[in-house]
Order: sequence, then C-alpha cells, then structure tokens
Amino acid sequence: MACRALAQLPQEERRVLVLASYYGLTHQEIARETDQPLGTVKTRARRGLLRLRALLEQAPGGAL
Amino acid sequence: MTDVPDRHARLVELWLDDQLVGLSPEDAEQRAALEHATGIEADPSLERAAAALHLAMLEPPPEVMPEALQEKIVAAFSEKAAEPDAAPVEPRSQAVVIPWMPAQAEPAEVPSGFAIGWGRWAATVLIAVLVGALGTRLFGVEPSQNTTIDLAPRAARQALLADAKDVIRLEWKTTDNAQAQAASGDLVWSPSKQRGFMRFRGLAKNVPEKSRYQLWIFDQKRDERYPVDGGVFDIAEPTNEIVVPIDAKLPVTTASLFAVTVEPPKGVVVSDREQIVLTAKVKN
Repeated sequence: MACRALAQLPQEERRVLVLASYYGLTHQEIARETDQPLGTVKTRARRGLLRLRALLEQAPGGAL
Repeated sequence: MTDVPDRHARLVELWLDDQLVGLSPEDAEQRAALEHATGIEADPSLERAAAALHLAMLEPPPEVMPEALQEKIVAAFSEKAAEPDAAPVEPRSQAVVIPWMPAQAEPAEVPSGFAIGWGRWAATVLIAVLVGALGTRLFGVEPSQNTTIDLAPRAARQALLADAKDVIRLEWKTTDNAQAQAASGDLVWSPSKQRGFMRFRGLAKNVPEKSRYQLWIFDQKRDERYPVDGGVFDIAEPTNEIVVPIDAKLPVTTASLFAVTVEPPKGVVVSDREQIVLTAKVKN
C-alpha cells in the first residue's frame, strides 16, 4: 500500500523521498546529485512526506 | 519575536526533516526550543508516514529483473568462480563505492586493484542492479551514472534501521585529537543482528600505508581492557559523508561504548589507546 501511495506522488517529490529514505542521502547530497537548489530539495522532501501521509490516511482501512 | 503560525510551520518542517534525514545539532536544539515554547509535541502521524515510506523501500520491485540481465550476472558470477585465483580475499573494511546503475545497464566493472572475492563481487553487482532497478521504477527516469555516493553501505544501513527493532543510534563525540577536530557523524548498532554502521563527515583523511582507523566496542560482559575489535577502515575523502560497516570480530552482548582509534596499517589486537579520535557512549 505504501508503495502504491509513493507511486502517486509527483515524480520529483518521489525522487527526493527515495534518495533520502532508501539511499540515506542528506538534503545537501540530494541537491548535489540531482542538481537542484537546496531549498527546492527541502521543500519537495517535506511536501512529499506530507502528501504521502495524506494518501495513506485516505487509503481504504487507513494505513495510519 | 516570531509569530506563532511561523513557529508552528517551522516546527513542522523540523519534524519532517527529522523523519526523513535527521536533524543537525542546531536544528535539534531549535526543535526542542520551539516545542517547549509552543507546547506542541511532534505529530505521530508524520512518524508513521515515514515508517510507511521506509517499508515501501523494503518491498521488492514488482518487475522481475530482465532475463537477459539476470543471465549476464549468472554468467559473470560463474566465470569469476571458475577462475583459479578466485578464492575470496578478505576485503578492507572501507566503504565500497559503486556506480549507480540504470536497470538495463551492464553489470558493474570491478575496478582494477579492488581486492574483493568473487562472491562479494557478485553480491555487489546484484545490489547495484537491484538498487538501479528500484531507482528506475520509482523515479520513472534513469538516474545519472558516475555518482560517487557510496550507495551500498548506505542502503544497507537504511535497511538495518528499517528492519531491526533494537537499533541504537549514537552521535560521535570528538576527542582533542587533531584528526577528529572537524569530525561528526553517528553510529547505529543492532544487538540482535550484531550489525551496525558508522557515518563520518570531516574525519581526517588517513594514509593506509602509515595508519588506519580502528573501531573498538566495549562490552559490559567483557573485560574492559579487551574491547571487541570492530574492524579497521580508511577515510579517503574527509569532506564527504562516509558510511562504514561495523565488522565486530566477536559477539557483543551489551555494548557500552564505541571508540575509534588510530592504529598501525594492519590494525592491532589490543590498542594502546594513545590516539582515541571518537567515542560514542551508550546511554543506560
């Protein structure tokens, strides 16, 4: 279910979340690896996690 | 004075950052101060969302590895195994840097002079391929190659954090040793799995021919004069964050203290403890 919710995120938010969660990269490292401004990376990471929470809450049965 | 809505917004940012990438000491301090000032506690639903995210990372990719790629890996594995000098060589306990492979790419070339056994080589290739496949599946685009981030130990560390229920996480404390002046990082250790990882940033580069770093694990169940050897390792680039697997040579029952010392190139069985650079004490 979490994987499906993750797949519904905008691509850039999903990308930042995966880099942080799976690879354990810091904001700075993600910014460097993806050639994005640090502020953009932080915003996408935060929005992505908030959006993921909302998607999981809306899921049947409520994952949270 | 910051407005209350601004403080709340900042607090949410810090909670989110904490769940995803962790907080710097300064941010952790700010979070504590804001929580104290506003009387608001961390939203547990954010923690659950982050946990769900980590779980999603553990699910195997739905797509089966392309058959052709699988065959190549098996063939490469078999060829390596058939080599007369293919006996596994004890690797140096150093963070392994692997290229970030797209799912359809060829297996990674082993760098010349990269002293690893064929079994570990095959495992490294498989990890690289699976990591690449996952990245491609989730990103929808192929990530860039030639990254220098050491993904394998990082992914293993994340997997341990997500998988083990008893992981302890400790911040490194520097000593007055010159090699540790700019050092920071942390350590995670799972007693049940007897596995752990060290993260370093800013620890001085060492010259392996002259000296190497060595981890020691003090166990409450053992004589403190003889801590468990946690493995030797090198720091090649002090500015990059480096993740090093802990290589405990003996079972650790109740870890009480982790310490990094500087030792001769081959490491030592018992340290004279003259050059302690970092410590991390387990809180009881």
